[in-house]
Amino acid sequence: MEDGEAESALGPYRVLDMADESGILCTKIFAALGADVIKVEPPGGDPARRLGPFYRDDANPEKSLHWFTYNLNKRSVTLNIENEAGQALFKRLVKTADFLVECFRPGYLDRLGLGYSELCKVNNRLIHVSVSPFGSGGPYGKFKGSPLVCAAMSGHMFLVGDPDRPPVELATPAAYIQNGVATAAAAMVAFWYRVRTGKGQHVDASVQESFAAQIHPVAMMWKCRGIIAQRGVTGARLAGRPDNRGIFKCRDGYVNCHTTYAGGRAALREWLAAEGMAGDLFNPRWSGFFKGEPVSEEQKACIDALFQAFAIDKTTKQLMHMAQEKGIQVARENTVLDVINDPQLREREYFVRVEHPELGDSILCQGAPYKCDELPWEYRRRAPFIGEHNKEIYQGELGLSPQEMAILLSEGAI
Amino acid sequence: MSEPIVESALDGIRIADFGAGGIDPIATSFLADFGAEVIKVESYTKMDFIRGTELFAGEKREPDNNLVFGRYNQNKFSVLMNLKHPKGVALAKRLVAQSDVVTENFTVGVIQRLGLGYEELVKVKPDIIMLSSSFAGQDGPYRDFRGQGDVIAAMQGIDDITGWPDRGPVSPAGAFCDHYIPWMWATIIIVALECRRRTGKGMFIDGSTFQGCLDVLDTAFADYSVNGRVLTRRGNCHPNAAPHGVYRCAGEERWLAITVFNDSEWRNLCRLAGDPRWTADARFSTVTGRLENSSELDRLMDDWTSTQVAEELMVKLQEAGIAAGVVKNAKDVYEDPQLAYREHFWESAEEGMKPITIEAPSARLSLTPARFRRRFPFMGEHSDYVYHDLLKLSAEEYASLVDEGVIN
Repeated sequence: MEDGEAESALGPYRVLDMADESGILCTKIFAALGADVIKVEPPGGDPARRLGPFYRDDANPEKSLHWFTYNLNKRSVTLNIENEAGQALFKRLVKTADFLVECFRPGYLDRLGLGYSELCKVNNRLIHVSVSPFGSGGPYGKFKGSPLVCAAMSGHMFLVGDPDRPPVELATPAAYIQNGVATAAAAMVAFWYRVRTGKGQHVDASVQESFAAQIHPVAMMWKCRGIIAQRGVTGARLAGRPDNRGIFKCRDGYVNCHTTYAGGRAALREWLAAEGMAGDLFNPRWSGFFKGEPVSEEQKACIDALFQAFAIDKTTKQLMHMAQEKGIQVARENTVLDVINDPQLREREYFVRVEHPELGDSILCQGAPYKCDELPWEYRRRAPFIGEHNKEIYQGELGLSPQEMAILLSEGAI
Repeated sequence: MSEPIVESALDGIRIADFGAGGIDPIATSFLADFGAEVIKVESYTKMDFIRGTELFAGEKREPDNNLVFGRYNQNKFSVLMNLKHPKGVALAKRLVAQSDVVTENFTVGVIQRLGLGYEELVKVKPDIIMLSSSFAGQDGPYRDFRGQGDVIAAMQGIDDITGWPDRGPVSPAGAFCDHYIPWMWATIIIVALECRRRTGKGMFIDGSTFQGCLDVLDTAFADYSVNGRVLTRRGNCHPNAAPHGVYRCAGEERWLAITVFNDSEWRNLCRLAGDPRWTADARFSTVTGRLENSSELDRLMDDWTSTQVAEELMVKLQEAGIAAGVVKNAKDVYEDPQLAYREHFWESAEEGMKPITIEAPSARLSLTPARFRRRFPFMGEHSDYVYHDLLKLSAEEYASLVDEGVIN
């Protein structure tokens, strides 16, 4: 608060984090906004520590880049919640917590006597967030999930890929990541209700349902029009209604261009004509098209072929900058490396290098989605080692004695 | 099935929403679903363009009849206010003075030119929270770039990591960030409200959709920075799991996603298949072997699945402890029993109107669930509420503002 330094937005709040990949972005966001996020790991370490890629490809549980990326600022304790002493200790932690975010299979915590109905007796202000592939209960409630399976079941995957190949997904666990942000929003809604009333509640999130948001308005089109959208290179494809855009190969990569967007048709024709590559677009047979009539499949194919010929010997940067000046939407199909080097992200100091003192190195991480001095989004500390804060939290904050710690250790509770 | 609801989580929060399109309206519709009072500021001179897009309920192509608008604006109010008129700007400020949050996603610079920039708004409401959502942020070399969601996805590297290694990039389903960022903004708005509650201070949030969606790239940046690897598209392959992909099933465009993460799941799959000879191939007995021979494995898997019904095989695989899911098309999703159990789709029912389909927020809150209280607003449907109840205009004032084209 001093010297104009803003207090972190979620600084006063504690989050117990038992999330796996399907909910981990939620707690990452909370940690970036200053919450005291404590990873509660089973003895031996969280299974997510086995997720690659690894630092210099060394498959060591303390070197997972997944762990590094998603657990910045967090602290770690080990705790065996399947053991009686561990359960008692868990309840002591819950008493101090504002949020619990967990991704156990539906019913697991209830069987341990640690479901919401029990935890709310320990702490009625607790916001207990449960994440599962399909939500708790229901016909798929017990189904196993994975990013690919959830993406398939959400309806997203059906719409992605070249039409002549099987459906495909992003190379990252996109369904899980989307669920992380959707869950954060829902948890904050519950939090606001608690701010007003003091009452905690249970939040039941479903990955399938979170990722189903990506397919809008495709389900509605089925309901209202009886149309089933198909996959295409530029996204969901409707028979007889070509998309305005295309993805085109250039000298050094690909660009995305709105070739038949009604507002940009004439500008595109001028652009092609300036290099004598407009084909027969000035022929009167095109006059309806240039007046803004809906584009036919045949017209679309013709214009895309002209633009492809025009683009092939130009660089992506050239095309993008030329088009922006003319008000035509062209975007470079950036690679991950292009994104890292992007001038806009540099200017806005988006990326953050987080020091990892023990490795003597730093790791590149995604930064804040916005700029706002009053709402700091900060990374103060690398991700924790297994049980790194056992002593600090159990002895220092919960007040356990060294003897109690020794007993818990011998009982396999921590 | 639950107790009668007495209140909503966000009761008492008022949002003056100057946004249009997808991102901003979806973010505020999420907040409206949980009880925030979202007032959409519109006019016939500057209508939300979504009201004119192609999908209409029924035959009438009218702004009050648009299905997509219906989904992005449920539970909201609409007031007519012509911001190109100085009196419209004055009215907007009076509305802001009674609001907690202002959202907008005009092209960078427009809201300032209208005289409704943050510096102006704090004069009428010192603790206002303003979220401006733009393509790439309020400054930097791209500040004037125009970009719809698909352009942003291309620039974010999302397309490049989607598709097959021997083909070009693919844009996933549509404008990826349009259906991702809204929940980031909704989160940030509530966090900002909490910050204001403790400090008494409002704030201006310069939101960039370019930045806001890069978490979808997962560990790609970390991996590049320490291992020098550049993640790109790789079909449905997984670096540590095989089989991992979608497999053809009986019927046209029927596919099943199957992911096998360890040897015990693999053995369960073999048993389920009836232990045919190909599953006993020594090359497939370990994860490493299956990964090395994944194209042949995928072909054999396809032969096995292609005669089976996707839904039936999914259930059998799930019973054997293997993650499997039908690649659902629009109809399958609409009829999905799990989404039905969770009441994901809501339908508006209003006499004389075709029903509008609404999609509920993806999480169920036990005490304060999202509620569908009203369909999207017609143009200016709540002008009376805003001008009469909130801004306390007299009937004469109201009438003369209509005459002057301020309320249109």
